Amino acid sequence: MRQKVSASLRDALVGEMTNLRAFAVSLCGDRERADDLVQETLFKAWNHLDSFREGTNLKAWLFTILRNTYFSERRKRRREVEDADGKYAAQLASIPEQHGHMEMQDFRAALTQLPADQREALVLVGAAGFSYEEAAEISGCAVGTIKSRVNRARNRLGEMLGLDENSDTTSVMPKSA
Amino acid sequence: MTQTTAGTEREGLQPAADEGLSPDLQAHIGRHLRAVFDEVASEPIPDRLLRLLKDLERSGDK
Repeated sequence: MRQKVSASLRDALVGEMTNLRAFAVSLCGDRERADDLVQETLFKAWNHLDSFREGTNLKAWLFTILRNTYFSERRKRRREVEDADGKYAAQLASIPEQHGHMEMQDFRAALTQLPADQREALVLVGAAGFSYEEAAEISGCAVGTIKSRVNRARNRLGEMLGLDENSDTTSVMPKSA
Repeated sequence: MTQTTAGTEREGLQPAADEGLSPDLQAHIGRHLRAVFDEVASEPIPDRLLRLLKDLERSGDK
């Protein structure tokens, strides 16, 4: 068990929690379970802070712990996985979103249909702000693998959403930056 | 938040030239993806997670 944690490191941990949660939700599709994942991640991180070198990429380190936790649980429950995925898809698709933007609901639903590794790669690079290299390190695979996952994910989404050259891409709700 | 999700670090999802979707459509997907992610990221940190942090800190002080 780690003793004193510097205030700056603690603040940095707290600062990453919102992003970690968003990543967890995008992986498992369920806020309850996502919070379990974040909780477990925090716990592990805290108890292994000595293996983290201050000044290196805390965010990437935390994301790595979280995704490893998620995927190893998933492997353990392999038999339930199909079921879980089905439930996941249903859940995300049926979330009666606050902003009942049809377009967003369709997008969310399509996202859930992606294989988990593709969804992970897409979110790491496209939303969480990691480079392909960082994403590869987090996922424990080659940069080329990440790139191809991201490409496949995008193409798949494009197909599912019926996007083609004639699609109106100007209608996207501008989300406040 | 110490970690911002601003400009420069959000440019990871660059259009790739060697694939099917046009840059426009790739950007379109990117915007949706960020909206979905940011929606959750903008939620307050749940109490139970804040409590856990407090507990961890206390246990570390012993």
